[in-house]
Amino acid sequence: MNKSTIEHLKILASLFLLLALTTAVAFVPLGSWNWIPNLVLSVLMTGLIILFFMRVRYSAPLIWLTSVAGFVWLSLLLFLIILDYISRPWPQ
Amino acid sequence: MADNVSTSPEVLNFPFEEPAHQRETALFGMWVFLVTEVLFFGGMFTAYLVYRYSHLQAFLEAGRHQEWYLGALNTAVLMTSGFTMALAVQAARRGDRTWLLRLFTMTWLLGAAFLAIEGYEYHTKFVEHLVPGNGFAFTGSDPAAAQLFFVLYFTMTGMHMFHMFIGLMLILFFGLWTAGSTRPMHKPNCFEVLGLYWAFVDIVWLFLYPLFYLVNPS
Repeated sequence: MNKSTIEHLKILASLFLLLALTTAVAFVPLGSWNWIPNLVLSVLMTGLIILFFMRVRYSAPLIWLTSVAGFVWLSLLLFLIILDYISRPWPQ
Repeated sequence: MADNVSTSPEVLNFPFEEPAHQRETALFGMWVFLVTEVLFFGGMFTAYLVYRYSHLQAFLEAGRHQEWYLGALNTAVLMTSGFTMALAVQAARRGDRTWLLRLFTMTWLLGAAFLAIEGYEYHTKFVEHLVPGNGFAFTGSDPAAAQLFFVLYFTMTGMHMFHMFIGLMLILFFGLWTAGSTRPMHKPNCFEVLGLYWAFVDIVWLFLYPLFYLVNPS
């Protein structure tokens, strides 16, 4: 096996590990707050896939920048919208 | 075997004068498309965020009805397919047609297995009357809000499955083309771009899994 295949295998093993972890975390009684560790782990898994399976780690800066751009805009959208909902009383 | 390992240079299209420039342009183009996809799915994730915030209790009750182990199994299947696809791209890059076709076959079968598992899950939802609409039957504090959970579930996993289906069709097309001709081996960017699409579809699922299967697992 060449070096690149071994690297891919390591990433797959890490992804499986993170999947087991995120599933286990969901069973920890945290009230309704399990989504925070779950999403943190999802972001970690996404990072591994983008950097290694999508080869961004070995790509030009232009590709790196583009790959980040979408997620930056999306986090702005999510952040500003939820800010509106949590900062004013919501009729029940 | 000589036929299966191409050593000829990559085909250069106008206006490119070197393979590196052509490759970067192809990858950049695909990433720009993927950014629009992030925002397309992002709209639905925003809807999920707002409704979950507004109807937390109903979402927790509805989440009870999800089979977390099916979601976990599907995540594992999809991760493995992402792995075989990444290796397929590497095979295409080094001109190894035999391994490219083998890895494409594995990826395709894993993708099809994912759709089969998801199809089975949809079936159980129909049987349990958890499909939004006239037949929706849910006993809980707020059935209307619980219905929203399932509307989001079917819309988002459905849109994800549609992307999977397109991916499977593309793998089939490029696989058959590669099996029948040596020409695609001189166009490795096609495979790299397809690999990016497939990895992106994996990523979407990595967020659907905790948001729909790990809400309140039992």
